[in-house]
Amino acid sequence: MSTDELMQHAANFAGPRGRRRLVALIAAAKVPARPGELAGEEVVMASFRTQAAKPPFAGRQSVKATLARLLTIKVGALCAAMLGVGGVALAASTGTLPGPLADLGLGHRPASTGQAPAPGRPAADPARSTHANPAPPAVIARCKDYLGWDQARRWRAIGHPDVRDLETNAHSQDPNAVAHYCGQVQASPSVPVRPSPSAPPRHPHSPGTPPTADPSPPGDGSPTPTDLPSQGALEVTSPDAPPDGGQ
Amino acid sequence: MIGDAPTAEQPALTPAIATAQEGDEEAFRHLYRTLQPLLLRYLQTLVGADAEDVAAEAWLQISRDLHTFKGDWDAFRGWTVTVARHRAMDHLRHIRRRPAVAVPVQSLLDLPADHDTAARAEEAVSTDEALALIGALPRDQAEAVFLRVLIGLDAQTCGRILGKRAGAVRTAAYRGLRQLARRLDTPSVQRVTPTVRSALKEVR
Repeated sequence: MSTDELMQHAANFAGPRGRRRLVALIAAAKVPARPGELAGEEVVMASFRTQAAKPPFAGRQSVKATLARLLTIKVGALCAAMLGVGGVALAASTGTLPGPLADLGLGHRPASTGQAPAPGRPAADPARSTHANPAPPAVIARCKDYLGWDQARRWRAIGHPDVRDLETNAHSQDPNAVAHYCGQVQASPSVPVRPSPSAPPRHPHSPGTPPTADPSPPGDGSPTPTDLPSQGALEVTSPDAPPDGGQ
Repeated sequence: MIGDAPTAEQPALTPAIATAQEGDEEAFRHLYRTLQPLLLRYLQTLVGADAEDVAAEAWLQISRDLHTFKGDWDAFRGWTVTVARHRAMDHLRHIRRRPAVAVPVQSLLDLPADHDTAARAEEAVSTDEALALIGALPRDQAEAVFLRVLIGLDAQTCGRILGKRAGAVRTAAYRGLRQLARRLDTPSVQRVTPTVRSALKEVR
């Protein structure tokens, strides 16, 4: 039944005045925008401009970043576990831990430096040293700045775009962890940058550059249908996503 | 205005959707200006005076998720209404959790209390009066009239949005229109005022 038929059937229950008024009522309810009804237009347009300036699916990156962070926590835990094994292996190599570990060959592992590894991440680094890229000058410079800040400023800067890549590389937003990472960068610029394999960059940008700092010029980086990945990720993050409308 | 089928007066805006998805500001503005008035009026029947805030939230989400949309003008209208209704339901849940907050019916109650109504021509119905009368219907009928008759979504889409079968939506829209026609058959529509409060009470 079309809307018109629906109206006619319903209006049959009223007299001529009711029928005329029903038509007038529907027309009155459908009039174009009245003063005030578009009051929020500029706020909405500002939001649209912000979204349009982002690369395709940039809105999802916060979710992806969260997931990546969760994964890097696991990687961190793995590193810690490896550190434990490394410590045991070191003990085995120095002959202080005789027994099955020595039989497994861990005792023959050459100690690369001849001294105990510093506490923290470097103990696990030999395993992934082939993936290490030297820190780009921008990261080194930001690290220098970061180390010059007092603790209050470091806390204020958590999550700030300027320090986001440092946090990513440090696997933590904790200012102490970031400072530790930066200390390593200053001491040896070959400290791995973005070693986590769980966060492949969606867009080509230089290592260490935060994803949001992708300043595409207007009209150049606008999304095109071919840029869009599969719809799979949409339903997860947007309950109202079309075409089912979340209902 | 928005109807069942594209007309010369209101053509389908399917091309504008794709253009807006490419980042064209004016295309998106056009979509907003076309849909916002009815969306806002629909939200007024759901959340009263908070409709503007809820509509703004809905449009922020629409602008954010626009690139994920696939479909034509009909599907787009259905999607925007879905988003708006979800935000309205969230808002109502939030209000229920908040103790002792005044129900913002005052602005709606003020609308039909215009005593110049009687002086107008018999058939004349102002937009505010029309919206107040529709808003005074039982909620399922008011929503069905809005989505099916005013916004012009098909019964299946309305059913998906409202969580009902298409047949139930048709029935609700029909009953709503019938009740409106009966009510409008009386000499004056000023009697709408007392019923607005009860309808809003039902919504909340």
